[in-house]
Amino acid sequence: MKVFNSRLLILAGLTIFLLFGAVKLNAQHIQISANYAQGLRYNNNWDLFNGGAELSADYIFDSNDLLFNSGFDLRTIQWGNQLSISLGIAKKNGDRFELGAEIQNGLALFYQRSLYVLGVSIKGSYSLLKMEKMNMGISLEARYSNCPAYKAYGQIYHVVEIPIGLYIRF
Amino acid sequence: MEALKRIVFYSSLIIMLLSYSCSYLPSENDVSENIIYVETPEYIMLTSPDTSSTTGLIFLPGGFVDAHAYVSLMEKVAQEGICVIIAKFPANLALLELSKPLSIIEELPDIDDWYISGHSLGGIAAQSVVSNHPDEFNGLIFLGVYPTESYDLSDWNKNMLSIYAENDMLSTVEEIEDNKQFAPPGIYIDQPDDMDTLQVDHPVTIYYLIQGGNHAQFGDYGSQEGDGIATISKDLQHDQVSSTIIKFMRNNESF
Repeated sequence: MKVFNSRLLILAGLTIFLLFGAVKLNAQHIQISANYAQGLRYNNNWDLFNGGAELSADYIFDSNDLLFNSGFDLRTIQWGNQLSISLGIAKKNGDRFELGAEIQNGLALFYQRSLYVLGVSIKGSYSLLKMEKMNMGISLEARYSNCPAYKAYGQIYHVVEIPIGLYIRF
Repeated sequence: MEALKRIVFYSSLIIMLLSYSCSYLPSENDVSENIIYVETPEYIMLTSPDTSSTTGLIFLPGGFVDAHAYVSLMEKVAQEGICVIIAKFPANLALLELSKPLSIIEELPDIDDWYISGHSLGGIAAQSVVSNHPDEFNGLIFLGVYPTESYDLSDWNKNMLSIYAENDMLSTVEEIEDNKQFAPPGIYIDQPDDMDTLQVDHPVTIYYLIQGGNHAQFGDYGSQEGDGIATISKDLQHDQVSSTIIKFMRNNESF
C-alpha cells in the first residue's frame, strides 16, 4: 500500500506538472538536459567517484531578469535510480549567463517501497548557441543529495556532486 | 489537441521510465560483528579480521538488485578468510560498467588470486568480463544463471562452478541444462564435500543443485516477480551456497 501511495503521489505531481505545461503562456520554454554527476564527497569522505547520469525536463518561465523552472529529473545515484521534481530560480547575467538555485524532492525507486530523497543545488548555465526559437548550452552545478531512509540499508546515504550538463531550450 | 498529444506522449514516457527504473530493496543491513565491512561508492568490501587474505572474490549483483542484498550471503564467504568485493553499478545494472572488476583488481594489488561471480544478470556480466580477460581470474562462479553463446567459455582453461536452484523460475533447471555447452564440460555433485575428492585432467564446470531453493534467495531482497516459491529458508539456501563457493575456491587448484 505504501508503494502504491508513493508512486501515486509522484505521478500526481507529474500530471500537475504536465497539465501546467500544457497551458500556453507567454515567455515559456521547455528545457531538456542530460547531466553527468561527478561525485565529490560521500558521507564525511572526500573522494572522486562516478555519481551517475541524469535526464531532466523542465518548464522555464521567463520574467524580466529572472527565470523560474519546474520539472522532473530521472537519474542514477548511490541508492539506485531516483525520480525527483525540481523547483528553481535563476538570475540572468547578460545575454548568455544564468546563475541560480534549485531544490529537488522525490523518491528513490524500489519495488517494495520507495524512499524519500531531497536535493539542493546551485547552478550556473551558459548559452553556447542562441537561435530564434532554440538555445543550447552547458551547465555546471554543485548539488547535495540525501536519502535519509537508505541509511538502514547501506552506509552511503548522502553525497555532494558536481553535475555537468548539456541542455536544449526551445 | 496539441497539448493533449504532448500530455499523452510525456505521460507514456514517464510511466515507461518508471517501470524500468525500480530496483529490489535489500533487507535492512545487519552485518555480523565478525566481519570488517568497508563501503565506498564503487563497492562493498567484506573481510575477516582474523586473516590477511590473498584470495579475492568479485561479486556482480543481479539486474536491478541493490548490492547490499548480497551482504548476508557473502559475509559467510568472507568469514572463511576470502576477501569479498560486492561491486556497485549505476542503476544496479552490472552490464553498464563491465570495466569495474578490472579497476577493482588494480586497486587491490595485495590479492594474488581473483575469482569472479555473479547472480542472474550479474552472472552474464561476469561471463562477459571473463571472456574478454580470461587470464585475470582463476575461476567463475554462477549463481542462478546459465552461460550465453555470446560469451562462449567452453574453451576456457579454468574451472567454473554453477549453483542453481530447483524452484528458480527465472533461470530454470532446463535452461541450465540446455546451455551447458557454452561452459567447460560439466560434473554434477550431490554435496559440496564431493569436491574434496574430485580429480580431473581438464577444466570443468561443477554443477550443484540447491533442492527447494529459488532465484531471489540467492540474495536477500524478498520475492521476485516470475520466480518460483522456495521450500527451504533463505538462511539454509545461503548456507548451502556459501559452503559450496568456499569448497570450490579452496579445492580449485587441486582438481
